[in-house]
Amino acid sequence: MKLRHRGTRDRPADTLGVSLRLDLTEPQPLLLPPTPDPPASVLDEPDSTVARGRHLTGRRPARLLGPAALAAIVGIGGLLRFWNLDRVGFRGDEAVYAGQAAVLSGVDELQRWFILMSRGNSNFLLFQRVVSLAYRLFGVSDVLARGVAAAFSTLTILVVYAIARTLYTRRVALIAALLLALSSYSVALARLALLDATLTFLVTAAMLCLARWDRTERPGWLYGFGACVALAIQAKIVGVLLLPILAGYLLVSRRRLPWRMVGLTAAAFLVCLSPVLLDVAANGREFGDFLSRSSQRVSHVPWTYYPTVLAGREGTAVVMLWAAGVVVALVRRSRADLLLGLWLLVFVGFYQLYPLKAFNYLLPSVPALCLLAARAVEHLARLSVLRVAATAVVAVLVASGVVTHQWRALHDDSYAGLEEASRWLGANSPPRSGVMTLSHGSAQYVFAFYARRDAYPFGRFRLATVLPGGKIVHALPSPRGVTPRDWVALWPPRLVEKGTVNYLVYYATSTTIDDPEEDPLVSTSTQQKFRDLVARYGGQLVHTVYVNHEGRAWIYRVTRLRKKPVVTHTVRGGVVRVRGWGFTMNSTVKVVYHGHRVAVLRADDRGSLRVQFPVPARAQPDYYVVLTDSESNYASFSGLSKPRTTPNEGGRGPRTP
Amino acid sequence: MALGLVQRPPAENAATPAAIAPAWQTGAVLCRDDPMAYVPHPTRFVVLARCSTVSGTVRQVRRDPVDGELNMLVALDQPYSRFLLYGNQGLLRTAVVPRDIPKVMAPKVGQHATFYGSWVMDRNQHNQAAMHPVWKVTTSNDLGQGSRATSPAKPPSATARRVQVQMQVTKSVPMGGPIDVLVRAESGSKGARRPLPEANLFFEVRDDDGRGVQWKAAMTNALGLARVTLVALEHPGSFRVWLFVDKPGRSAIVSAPVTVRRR
Repeated sequence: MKLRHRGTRDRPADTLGVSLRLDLTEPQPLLLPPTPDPPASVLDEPDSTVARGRHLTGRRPARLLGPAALAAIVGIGGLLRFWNLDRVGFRGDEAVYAGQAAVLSGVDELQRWFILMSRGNSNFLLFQRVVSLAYRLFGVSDVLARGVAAAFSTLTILVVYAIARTLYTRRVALIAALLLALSSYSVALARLALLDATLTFLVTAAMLCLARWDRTERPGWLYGFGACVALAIQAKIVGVLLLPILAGYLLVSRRRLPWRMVGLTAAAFLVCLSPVLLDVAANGREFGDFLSRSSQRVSHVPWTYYPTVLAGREGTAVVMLWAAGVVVALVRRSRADLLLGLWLLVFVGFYQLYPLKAFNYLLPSVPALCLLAARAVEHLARLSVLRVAATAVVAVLVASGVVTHQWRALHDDSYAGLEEASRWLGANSPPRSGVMTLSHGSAQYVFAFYARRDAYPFGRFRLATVLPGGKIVHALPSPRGVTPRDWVALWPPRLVEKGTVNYLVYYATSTTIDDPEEDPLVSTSTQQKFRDLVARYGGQLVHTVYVNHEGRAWIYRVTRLRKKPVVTHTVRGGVVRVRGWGFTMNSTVKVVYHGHRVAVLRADDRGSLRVQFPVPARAQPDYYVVLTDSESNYASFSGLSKPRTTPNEGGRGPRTP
Repeated sequence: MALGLVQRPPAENAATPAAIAPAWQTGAVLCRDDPMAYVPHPTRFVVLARCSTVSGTVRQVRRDPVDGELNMLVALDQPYSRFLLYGNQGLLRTAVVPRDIPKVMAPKVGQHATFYGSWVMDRNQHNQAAMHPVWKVTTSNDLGQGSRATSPAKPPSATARRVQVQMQVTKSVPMGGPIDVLVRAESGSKGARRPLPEANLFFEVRDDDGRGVQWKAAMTNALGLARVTLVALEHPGSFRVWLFVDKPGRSAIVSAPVTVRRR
């Protein structure tokens, strides 16, 4: 492989007095001599003294133009990321992270629902610790958690600019910053209190350190890289992928590090990683449990999943631009391209191969794509007039796509209604009541966060569930590796029948609302089972959440604790004693014997009852005693006989026609 | 961690029997254009061949109380066993949907029978091959007697076969609200009607386009009554609740409209 450093085009290395032209087919020196950081003015215009002279005449405007443009780009990016952050409430994962942050900030009340450990071994609470600092200052809120993610995402724009300034030119840096600032995918994820924006910031910062070390040879940048990797791992465990990037870079570029530098980098890495090491040492068993189970999680999606996600969220024009950037990098193969190429290869390759996939996973790759795309745009724009025109057309296409997709990102209401449902339950349900909702593993925590209610999931997933009080329930192993059904078939009916769950909440995502013809409200098997659960336990619709005049969440109160009422009876001393369960709670129950009413009573608040009445004078074994509640649920038995002189001991067991 | 899963498309129709499905034997019954009509939860199936015919020995026959279908396990004859998939473990699952049950004569365990239906892959059963639905079954005895091949079980008398079904349905419900359905089933003539206990009930809610959106099975009690609650988690619009009632030798179909309103 021949790796060329095109200093005169990508980055003005020649002006620094050191040629960085690199041919990997030839033996390289162990370490290039350290190069001082060039002044910004030198970096900006490398090509000719003529150009420099031109700048000398207009030095002040040129100096102001760059920072002003950068400030404008960061301002636009920040506006997109911070604007109207509280438009829609939390989704499940956001609630988990915000709840953990609240616990870290000292809100002990939430310890009942949130444990300080990732159930999927995905992170070591770095994002949550940062949010907790904000919570300590301003109090617990959903906007604040999202604000932290948005801040990290906005800062990433600056880091991308710095990387491009290091590897390429200022023009490329501004274009790359603009592309990232306007990236609909980045904006959408920055507006959520998820870990990805923080991870992306730290990955980008680590790559900046690596790039700076590559260019300056100052060991401090490498130590910084080690620290950033450790922090990235704490933000999300996939931050460890930065290590293969470093290894790959050292291998391909045949650079060798002195042992002292390796040791100090490792020390910086380990010092920054020490919270993780302590955490794992203290909770090794839980960590191992979570690891063994969460590693079995699989998404059954086609291999085109990620391209589809990116095209859907960014638009085809932007994705094509990214692809053009990759192609140009493959053609030119400079050392800067090597760094960015490894960045892309490791992250995209890992997630493409990793069996668990999600829409947010590719975010750490976006800065690299923006950098390469920016370089491609800049490269095209300065070749000829015709290509400038072509570039302008591409820019218009990209801009039109950006507007469309930004609108979608800013108006994403996928989980609208969950917060409102939670707040309604918080205000209108008893403090000890429990709620169950459709979930992929986390949606129930929205109710714990907003309503402070015990919340349980209904769905198929491999994640462990933290029951209120902190007990951890792992998903049961299932045959043939299919996703367990224990939170569809096993636990929900048990929890309802025990009276632990009193409310059932069904919610619709925006897709099911927008396209009713193609996507009915209830379509999946899990949704159908949830609807059956509502019907089976007499779910009474007590509240509907409307968003833009469309129903989005339906809250049902459980009105009976059994699918069908059950009665038992005994006959003693000419008196029939009946016990019943599973009637509608607090309902009036009529007891009828062969068409004649013999008693009327009220079921208690659990739907149970006790009643006794004398054996009817004309009792026949074939006649039925029927108990019917106000909702027409009934149970019955037969077998009564005429009273005898001597007491008739005992009676038949329950018999329900 | 949020998962972004892509759902597979709903049941796909294969216009002609593929090589992975047994061939259709013409003559006994017509092939259906839309075999998934009246099938509860049709998205669980991938249709491999719209119409197929297999024969084998019946190992098990049971009525599923959950979805109201008549399920049969069949050990296929040698020429057909190659169409089974790994998940089948040597046996074919066949099912008659509630609408067709009165018209199909169920074979007994141990009988050799020929099944006419749609050849599908059941995604809810580890991608087993299945015949679902079956709309015609002939047994070896039928073939011998000729005339019984197309008729159901021993025809009861006209009086006994008469079933009177009344169904009361909530006419208008808000989205998410309950659709209460009260059913009264009676048998006999007008002068001597008697409750019809333990009659199999199968409810299907269909939208304006005739597409099934909700299904439920139930049974009448000793008084011939049944009360069922459906949950109107549907987009606003007009629907119709269809009720298929059957008890050996007797059957009835009734329907009633229901409107799901926005608020």
